Amino acid sequence: MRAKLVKQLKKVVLTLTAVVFMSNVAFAGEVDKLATILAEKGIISYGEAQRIITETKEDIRHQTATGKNENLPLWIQRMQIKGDIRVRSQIDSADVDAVNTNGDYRIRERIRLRFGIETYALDSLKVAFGIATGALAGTGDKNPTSTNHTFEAFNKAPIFLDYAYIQYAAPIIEGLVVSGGKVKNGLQLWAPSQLIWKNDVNPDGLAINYTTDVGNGINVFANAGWYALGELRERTNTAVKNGMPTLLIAQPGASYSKGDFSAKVGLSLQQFYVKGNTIASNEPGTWWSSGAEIMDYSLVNPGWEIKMKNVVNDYGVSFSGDFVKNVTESATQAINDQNKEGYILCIGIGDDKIGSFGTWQAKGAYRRLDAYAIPTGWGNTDAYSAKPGKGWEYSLALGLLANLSFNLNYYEMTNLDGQAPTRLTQFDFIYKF
Amino acid sequence: MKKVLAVLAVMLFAVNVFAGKIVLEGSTTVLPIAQRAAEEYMDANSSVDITVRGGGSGVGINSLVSGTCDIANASRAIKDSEIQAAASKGRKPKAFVVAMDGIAVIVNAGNSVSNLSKKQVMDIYTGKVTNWYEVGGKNEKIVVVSRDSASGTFESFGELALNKQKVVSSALMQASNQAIVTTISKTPGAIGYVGIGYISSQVKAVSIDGVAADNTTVLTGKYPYSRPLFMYTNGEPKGDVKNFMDFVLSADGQKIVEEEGFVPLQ
Repeated sequence: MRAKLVKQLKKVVLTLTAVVFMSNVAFAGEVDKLATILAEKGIISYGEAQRIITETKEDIRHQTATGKNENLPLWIQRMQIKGDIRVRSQIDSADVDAVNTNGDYRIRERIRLRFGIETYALDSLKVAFGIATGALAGTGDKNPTSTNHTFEAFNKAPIFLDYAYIQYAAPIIEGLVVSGGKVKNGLQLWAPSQLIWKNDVNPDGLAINYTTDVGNGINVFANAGWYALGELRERTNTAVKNGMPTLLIAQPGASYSKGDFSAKVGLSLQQFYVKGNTIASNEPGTWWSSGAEIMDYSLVNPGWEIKMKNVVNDYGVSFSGDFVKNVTESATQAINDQNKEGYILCIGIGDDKIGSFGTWQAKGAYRRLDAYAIPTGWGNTDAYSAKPGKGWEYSLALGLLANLSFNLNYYEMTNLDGQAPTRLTQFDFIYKF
Repeated sequence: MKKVLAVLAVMLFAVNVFAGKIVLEGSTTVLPIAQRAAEEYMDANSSVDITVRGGGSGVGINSLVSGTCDIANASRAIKDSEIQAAASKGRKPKAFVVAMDGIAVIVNAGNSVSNLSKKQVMDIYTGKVTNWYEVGGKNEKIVVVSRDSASGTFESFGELALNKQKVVSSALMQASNQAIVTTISKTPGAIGYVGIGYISSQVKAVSIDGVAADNTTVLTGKYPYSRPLFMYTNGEPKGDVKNFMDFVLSADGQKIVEEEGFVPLQ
């Protein structure tokens, strides 16, 4: 009699579970309570309760992840929000020299907000966009390499479209992804450092990425892309036709991962077709030269990275390097093969990721960059205030809370033309969401 | 006679054509359950051919997503990104909890310590704490005993208790749960870990953060070193895959779970 009663009760529980699950995922917690109470009363076993609770959660996760809940549109179910807020205090200083006869000392309080949304309109079609702070032309900090807003007179901070693109994963070729629009940094190529591409720069154009697992922990990848740096506008009576300023990128590479060891290499070829064009950035002369470009840039850029996790307890170590040579034909005698190279060598130690309180990472890097190795203003602008330059960069990141960290960055760069060193110190509090 | 032979030939052909084939792949922790279950199921169902492969949870789920296995064994829940990858290929991973993994921390029966915190266990196994007096016991060197790195229990303990940190290099590595129990029972100052089914009167199981290791605390998830073990199928299982899953969740299947040192659901 009791066995029959228990069997009937089990059916009731399972039916209630199904009803609750079907009605709204928010009641998943109620299923937990119900199953636990019934287990405590001996109506179902703890094992059956565990199965009901865990499998219900898994079903709901599946429904949510694939957008099958009928209460909300598919694209909303799949929507993910990412972003961060960074509050920065920055000190710039330069010693007295022939150029800076009074030296230079500057403290700026700055803020950055980045907010992005991405969703899958279809299983193979992702749409993403992000907005970020920045500054208007003529008010400082006005180039594609910065998302800072400097505090001044309680001004509101302007918000810009940081990136917006559509990404298609071709189902017929696994691992092939095509992205078009103002694509997010990282899609144009893989880079172990910011020697050429500062990670705030989101290029405009078409990126093609392919990666495939060839077994034994080895992945092969290839990145290619076409990007517009301006418009093509030629009048019929114009004698000189410069063509559309564009950038082409091709990068084959490979990665290897086994246990705590991983390595990655890539060779990018970056062709800037800009000769004769004036690139209209918000900050002429800083992001690009102020007048017509006197040459194209043909960059050959090998890069590599080695990571070893858990070398000492939880702490790992990483080594990376980037080299660039501009192999374009020299435009003038002043621009020769001796001043078109650059490199960076980096070492990092600490936790794999910055997360909870107590996690930390420390990094050090040495770099050198000739005047004509990369286009004017490219690369990490925090380090290149004295380009052509060389110098050291140090950073320390500390986890404070689950998503809150403190970063300290210090740059000391020497101008290759003999100017006094410039120093930059940044104190950052960053909250990620 | 020819007709009889023809009928037999057709029947033989039909058996071969319709003989079921099931491929299981994934977690090395779930591997012993899958292997034993496959062997016993094939003994009772000779027309079904079951292949069991390891490789890790991620490998198994990837194979399920790409359609190269029928059942993915996993010692963790499937990730959202894996669900989405599966959906993009028209596949729908369906979770089945087949067992609970509970790992008991055991010490020599003469040890006065009866409770350890998770941090103390981690510190002992990573070599930061080397004497029992540092954790409330007597002044005695701690002898760390561990499963060898090829075992699923070693992998589970590393994930559940050590946050994937490495076991101290001086640890005595043992090839089986029973070898751990024997070593601990004969070595004063020793500490080890075993599947919860291997706790015996020869050794003493310590509670973790005040929670004793038993079937109920593991099944309710209150015991810190516990987690569900999964088998994922593509959608609601049908045919041979359904029959096999029914077997794993049956009393006979759950007996295998218990015999392999895990906590059964029944």
